[in-house]
Amino acid sequence: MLKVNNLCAGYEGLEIDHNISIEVGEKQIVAIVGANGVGKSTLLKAITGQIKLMGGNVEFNGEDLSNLPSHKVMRKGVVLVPEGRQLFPMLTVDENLNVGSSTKENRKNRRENKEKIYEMFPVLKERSKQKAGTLSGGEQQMVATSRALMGNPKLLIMDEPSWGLAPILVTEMFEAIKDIRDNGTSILIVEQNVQKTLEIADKAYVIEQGTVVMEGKGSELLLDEDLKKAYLGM
Amino acid sequence: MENTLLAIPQGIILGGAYGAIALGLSVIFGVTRVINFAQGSMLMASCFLYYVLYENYGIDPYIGIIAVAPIMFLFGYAVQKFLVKPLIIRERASVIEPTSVMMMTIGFDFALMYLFMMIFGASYRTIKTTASGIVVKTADGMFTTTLSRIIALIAGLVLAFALWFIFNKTELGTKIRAVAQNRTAAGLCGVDVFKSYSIAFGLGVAALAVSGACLLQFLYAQPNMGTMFGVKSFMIVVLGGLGSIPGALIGGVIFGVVETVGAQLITGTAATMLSFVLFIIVLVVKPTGLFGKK
Repeated sequence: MLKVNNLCAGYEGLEIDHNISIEVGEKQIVAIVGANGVGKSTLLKAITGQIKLMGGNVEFNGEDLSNLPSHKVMRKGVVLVPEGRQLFPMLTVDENLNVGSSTKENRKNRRENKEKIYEMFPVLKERSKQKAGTLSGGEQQMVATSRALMGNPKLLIMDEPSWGLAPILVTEMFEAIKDIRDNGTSILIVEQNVQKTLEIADKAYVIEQGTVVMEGKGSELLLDEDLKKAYLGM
Repeated sequence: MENTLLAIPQGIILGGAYGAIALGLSVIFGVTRVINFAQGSMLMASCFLYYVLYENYGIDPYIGIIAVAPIMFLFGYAVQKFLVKPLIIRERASVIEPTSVMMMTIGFDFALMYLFMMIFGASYRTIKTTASGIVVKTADGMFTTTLSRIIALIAGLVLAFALWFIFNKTELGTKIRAVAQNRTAAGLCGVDVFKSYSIAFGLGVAALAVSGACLLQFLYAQPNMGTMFGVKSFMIVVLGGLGSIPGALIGGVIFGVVETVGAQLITGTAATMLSFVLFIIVLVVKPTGLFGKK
């Protein structure tokens, strides 16, 4: 459903991603792994319209998304859970979810979506009237993910969802990601927790210095000797 | 001494009017991080619209709000959309105040002022309405004011409540607050950031138009009138806390009281100077203002 073809992107004349091509299919979890600063977040920013493309294009279900502003990309069903959560700290949890579902289309099934989310993350129901900025890191990540789910994503993009989470919460987060996929939403995930990510990924790309250097099934990449050495310390 | 005490309610009434003008500035800054230095001239423009409506059609400014507030909303919306937005995009400033926008609003302020000078000349124009002719006094006759001034104070309160309601109790307001807190994230949630900016700008200028209707009842319309109000409302907003709705009103009242009481105790000029000194002190000691958040 998502096809990124020869994408080049960066900041202020400095190209960071060079000719990246990736593909995400229906009901797939696709992972992008790589060390810090190799251009993974830049790629996600380019896909979601936060920065302009320097080359290539982004296609979603046959439609060209290249260089659309963020809100239009979102309205096509490509929703990002940004790195560092980026909640609205002074809005309540409930208001955060409302902003996530504020387009005309998404308002229609707002109530059902909230019920589903409170089932998945019961603690958010208790916190619904609390300001998002006062929540713990784990709860904030739940709000960020929920806010994106409120937008009825066809493709959910997650940038470092395990960032700053306690180990037990990381395991829960990955379980939640699998559940989301099983409910029919495709997922594109960027993560530094390579082991756990590859375990759940249907397909993965390894990025180094702004280019794709390896791709394959998650389970296959986990067995790759070079990758083990470089990212898993084995 | 009695005069000094009587100056306090006078100051509160004047301050309510000041606060109402500052509200628009505060709303615009709170959302877009743009300090609209054209605030004064936009107020002046709305006063002239009321003046024209009154002179040509006999429409009282209070009634004129029905026409002028929407016109000024569209005016503010357009200024944001066609002048501010391109500058923000060019500077690619994420949440910080783009300096070119600030300079543009200063230029816009003068352009508007001279445009009205060209059309209407520099003379002072006043109107005599029903409300400005009704004198209100306390039972002992010590304190007198006009109905129009009391309406101005009430209008400031109503305006503040209306803006608070829009921002805190409506879907549109929630979206606009989201944009104010994190515009990148708001965009990712499907909110059209620049449209929200335009609406906030429009609301701020429309609020100004409501104050204009109240002011013209007891003041004058003149192309230069905006300069003083623009500077004062900027100081009031800093005093109360940039972006804070109650802060704008309370800042206005403090300012009004300092001015009127000061004028009783010392001279008018010294009182005005005092209010500027107060502004500088607040800026140095508590830069977030009395009600501002960091």
